[in-house]
Amino acid sequence: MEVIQRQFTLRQAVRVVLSLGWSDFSLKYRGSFLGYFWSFSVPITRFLVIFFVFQPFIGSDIHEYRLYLFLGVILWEYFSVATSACLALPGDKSFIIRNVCFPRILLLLSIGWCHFLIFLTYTLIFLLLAALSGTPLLQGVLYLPVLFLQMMCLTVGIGGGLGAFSLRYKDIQHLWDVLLTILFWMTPIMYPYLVEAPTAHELLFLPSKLFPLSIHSFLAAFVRFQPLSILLYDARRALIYGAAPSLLHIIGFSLFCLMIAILGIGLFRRRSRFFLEEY
Amino acid sequence: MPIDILRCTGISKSFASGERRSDHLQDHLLRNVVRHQSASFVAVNDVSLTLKAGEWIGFYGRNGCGKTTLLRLIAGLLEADRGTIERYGTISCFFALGAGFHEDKRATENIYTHGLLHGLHPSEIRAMTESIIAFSGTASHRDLPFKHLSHGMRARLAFAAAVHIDREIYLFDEALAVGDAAFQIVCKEKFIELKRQGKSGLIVDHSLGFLADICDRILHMEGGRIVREDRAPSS
Repeated sequence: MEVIQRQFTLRQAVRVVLSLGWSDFSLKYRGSFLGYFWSFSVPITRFLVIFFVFQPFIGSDIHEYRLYLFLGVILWEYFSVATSACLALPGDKSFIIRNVCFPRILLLLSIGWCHFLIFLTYTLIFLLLAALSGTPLLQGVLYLPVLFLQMMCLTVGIGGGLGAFSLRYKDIQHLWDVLLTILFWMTPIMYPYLVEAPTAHELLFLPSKLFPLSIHSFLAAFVRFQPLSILLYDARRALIYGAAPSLLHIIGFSLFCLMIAILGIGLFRRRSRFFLEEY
Repeated sequence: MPIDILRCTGISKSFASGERRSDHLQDHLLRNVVRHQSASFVAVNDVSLTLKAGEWIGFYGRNGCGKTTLLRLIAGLLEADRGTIERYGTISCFFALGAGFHEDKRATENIYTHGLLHGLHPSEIRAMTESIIAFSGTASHRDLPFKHLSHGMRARLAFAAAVHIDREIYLFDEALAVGDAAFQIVCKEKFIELKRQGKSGLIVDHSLGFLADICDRILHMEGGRIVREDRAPSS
């Protein structure tokens, strides 16, 4: 029988995740003049630039375009920054990984928690903007826990999968940056998202839509069904337009996000045993 | 008769060496790269040992003979290619290269995180924080980021954090390498105190004299193998 260290209980694991995530969050801007407010600079700049460029062309086609765009920008910001942080984790946290024996998976979860805290503040700003523009928020606020759960699962899952191989393949960060650039334009952040029927229904007829095969039909299908588009569409429906997705859709998409999380976390857990050899 | 608290049976560990596989995913996707490793270096080769409760074992040998790798395998930081490691006690370890402390965190914050990562309750950590600071002699730097401490102070703080965690087995990798003469005396006293408390330990060091003072047995390593065993006169 092999007895390994003092086993982590769930309570201890949660304590480590919360503490590490919070300390990363607080260390990020410690000592800077603008402090935490400095973190708003990127999404707000991105929002303003896109707004003033795209507003004249498509602003009138989309109801509440300011909120539509702002929600898209902050969700994208969370996804891109958090997945990149998960990817960089084995390098950034090498000082712990090399010296302390504990479940490495807690580091991945702490990154998810840290970036969730940042996203929470973005959400508060969004809710303030929505309230100022007279958008009814009650139904949207009730949907927030679902959005947070789906978003965390998707991000930690994809980030974990990437982080699992980031020491083995040194160019993953570079490749992910290239993919993020493509994904940014393939996600309906600033342009309309075309929905003809419920997602499951459209999925059934996907093969007929793809033919005849062309780059355009492929890209259109990708934009329609990629998870970030669905996440964004659901969030906008609930938070801006007061029409939450159906229960069936919520359950289906949540299970999909959960599956991504399980795969990514599992991969990270399996590969993290070899991190020390890959430094 | 003391019970076995740690048992290693035929453990081996190899690392890839020589011409390495490409580190780039693009090479694996776009080019027909050779996938097998051209060579491997055996760091630990068929090592078996038993540590009794209350016993202290020293590892001695030249650089690269596998001492630190063996300690990392026992600590659970690395996985053995072959063999089994049975641990019947909890472990606290100190590696000379660092203790898992964050450069930008203060000493007290690092102690807190270190304790949490070892599964301690916040109240347990708070209770031992002042004692760790005092033992390491870093009170004047307690509110400074870890990176502002000298190498010696960092090692002292890391060592203090490791020995203040109540465990059955302690692993030390070149604990005396960085500290000054005064700290080396403090370390020695701490080892003796731990030993008196019935704790067990594995120490890697380049000083035979020091190992002989503390350990019951000294295992000499060469090429990843244990080639000789010396017993301390008192044991």
